[in-house]
Amino acid sequence: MERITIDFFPNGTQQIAVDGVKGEACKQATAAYETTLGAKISEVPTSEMYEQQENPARLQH
Amino acid sequence: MSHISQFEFQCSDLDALEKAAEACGCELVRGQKKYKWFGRFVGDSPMPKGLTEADLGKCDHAIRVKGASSQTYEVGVCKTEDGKFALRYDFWSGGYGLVDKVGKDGKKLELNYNVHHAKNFFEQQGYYTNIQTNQETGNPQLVAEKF
Repeated sequence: MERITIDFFPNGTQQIAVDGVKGEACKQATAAYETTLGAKISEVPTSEMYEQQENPARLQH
Repeated sequence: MSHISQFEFQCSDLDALEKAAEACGCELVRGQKKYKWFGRFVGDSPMPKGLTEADLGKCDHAIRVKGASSQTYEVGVCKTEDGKFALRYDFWSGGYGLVDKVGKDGKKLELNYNVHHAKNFFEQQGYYTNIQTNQETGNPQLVAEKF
């Protein structure tokens, strides 16, 4: 199961976490959504993103 | 006095904006071509970038406070050259109740817009979505799942 969790903050920023998608594919899961937003604040891939098969990946925007 | 502020968040999803307005105790009136403000620019605050005095008070849609008095100002939803929308309002005296609803610089409206825009987007991509409250932060959280 693919699961995307977005936390919204009062200053307008968003934090996006993707679970159940391996490696770089997690970026693709949210890339189209990001294009609908304003300027990207930040993206911080964690070490989990590089664990191709074992763990879900997580991004912060 | 007249002080026009232009929200800085990008808005491209009118359906999400409509739901965000409702969440703030307001309503989006589609096709309303004028928004309520002081009516005359007196030059005591900066003109928002890219605007002239002739642009003020004109809009493509408007957001008004539900049950507001006749004095309460409105938000103008104005189409921009890139096809998105800029949101403008007269913030003098809090817009006579408007700012209490949409937040300073429209931040309450922006927060709710972001939530509903994301919900709409991921539902269109085939996800099941649920809006909830993050128990740690108290802020809204969207969970989108695809099986």
